[in-house]
Amino acid sequence: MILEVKDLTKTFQGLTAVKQVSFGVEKGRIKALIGPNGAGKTTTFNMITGLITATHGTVTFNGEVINAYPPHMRAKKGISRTFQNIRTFPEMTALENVMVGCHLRTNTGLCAAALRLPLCRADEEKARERALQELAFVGLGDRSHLLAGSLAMGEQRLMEIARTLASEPELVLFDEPAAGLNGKETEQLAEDLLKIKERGITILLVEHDMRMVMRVADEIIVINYGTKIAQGTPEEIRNNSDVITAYLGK
Amino acid sequence: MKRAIPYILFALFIFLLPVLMPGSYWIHVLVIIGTYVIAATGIDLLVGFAGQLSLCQASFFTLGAYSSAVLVTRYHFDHLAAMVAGVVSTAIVAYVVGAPVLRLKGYYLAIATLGVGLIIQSLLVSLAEYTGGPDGFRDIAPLKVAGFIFKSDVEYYYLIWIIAMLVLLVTRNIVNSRVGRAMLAIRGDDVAAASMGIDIAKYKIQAFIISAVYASLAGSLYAHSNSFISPQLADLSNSVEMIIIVVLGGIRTIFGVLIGTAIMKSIPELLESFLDYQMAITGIILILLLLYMPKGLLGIIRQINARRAP
Repeated sequence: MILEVKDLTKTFQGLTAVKQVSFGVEKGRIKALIGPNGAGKTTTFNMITGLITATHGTVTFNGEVINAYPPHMRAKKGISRTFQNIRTFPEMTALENVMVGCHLRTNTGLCAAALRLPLCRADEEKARERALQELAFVGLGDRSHLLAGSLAMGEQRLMEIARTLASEPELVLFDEPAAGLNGKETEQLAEDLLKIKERGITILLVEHDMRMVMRVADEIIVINYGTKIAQGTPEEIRNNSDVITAYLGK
Repeated sequence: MKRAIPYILFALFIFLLPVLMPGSYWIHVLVIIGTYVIAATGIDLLVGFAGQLSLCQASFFTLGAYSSAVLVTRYHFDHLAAMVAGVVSTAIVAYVVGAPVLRLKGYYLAIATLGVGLIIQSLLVSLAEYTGGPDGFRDIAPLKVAGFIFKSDVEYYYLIWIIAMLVLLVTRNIVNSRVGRAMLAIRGDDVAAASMGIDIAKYKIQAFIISAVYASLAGSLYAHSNSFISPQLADLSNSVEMIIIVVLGGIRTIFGVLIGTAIMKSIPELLESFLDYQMAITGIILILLLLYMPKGLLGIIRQINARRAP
């Protein structure tokens, strides 16, 4: 298990958003976290990446409990993510956005940067090459010089994925990556996710597009009202009566 | 290499200016412009790149000025040592103040830095025993470095402009690096920046300290070249002026600070005969510029250039 979540609970002023959720993610697999709106999926993501702290329970990454780490330390450990509402750096070009992803894999500090020492030049070259490589991977090779804010929404999402990959993560959390994409773009996204898995990167996916989830996921966890109600292969989930009730009502 | 040509031309222009207009009063104005370029460059880094609005830059400037004045005059420090002591103590103040204050965002941060500036100013007024109080500090010795005494405006001109150009160059280097990208990322979206592994608190405080160091250095140079300083230097209007300089010249352009400072510091000279209307005219010019050129003057020049060259 690369990631283990145990009894994870989040209470907002008396309201329990996530209640004692436990699951594990095996290395190199794609695991999907699904559930109706407001089920607590994004809250779970935010507790794993450190944007909010868990009320109870533990998050263990590669055998280490990471509850006390702030987001940037978790990123350093190898957890990266994309956002439901795309978060780009709009005044930077696509290339620069993805180069920010290389932050963790380069070392230039203030002094080396101020004096433009050889270390700094080498890091710049390394980051630029890596960023171009990742932009090409997601199919944005020819858009690198454009300002992030001027890209189409689908392209911004791909750029966000490239930025995540540039940080050389072990685990990537995708928060509704298909939201707002058209059918063709969603198709492409599914291909990309499988290609990312092939690179040995573990994926935890929150997604509403069930066709895509069924296609890419190795295993699915279903939560509703903050509680886990089912876990299994896409086939098992499709025929689970609790899941059908949760989605369609009785 | 081709990209270096504008910089070399500019350096040459600065170098030749005193030769082209010997004995001109404008050399004195240019000494002041150079001094404020140093301080305002810090604001472009802090506000423009890291996105942290500070209203205490003039107070850091004044802190540097008083450090030099007090240490040199009352404690007979070596001038360079006093300047370094001023820079180091301003950096420490920036660190101690910045660590808690930089957790705030937007208006709250602006108000907190405003408070910091007021505290520094009122301390300088109340510690009259050392600082001379509200009357200011007179007869500060001309700068002496390794036996050389800077006396004329031309001598100060060369010293201050060499330092200003180094500060601009260093800042440009920082901006075009991993560190500058991290700062710009924090300004763009701090949640995304943290998710990419950027230590937000660390880069915010770095930007704050660098900007304070530039201000302190500029303040020390001002104290020696002007020989008189007063706590009025730390007025809020002077901190606001630094932000206006940056916006006017073109925020996030670094070199736009040159244009912004030149305009802001020349207006009082050019409008001398309209003294009563000076503030009003400055205000009108600012409103017009911001309405029609929100990217600032250098921003506009670069935009036109980019459009012309495919």
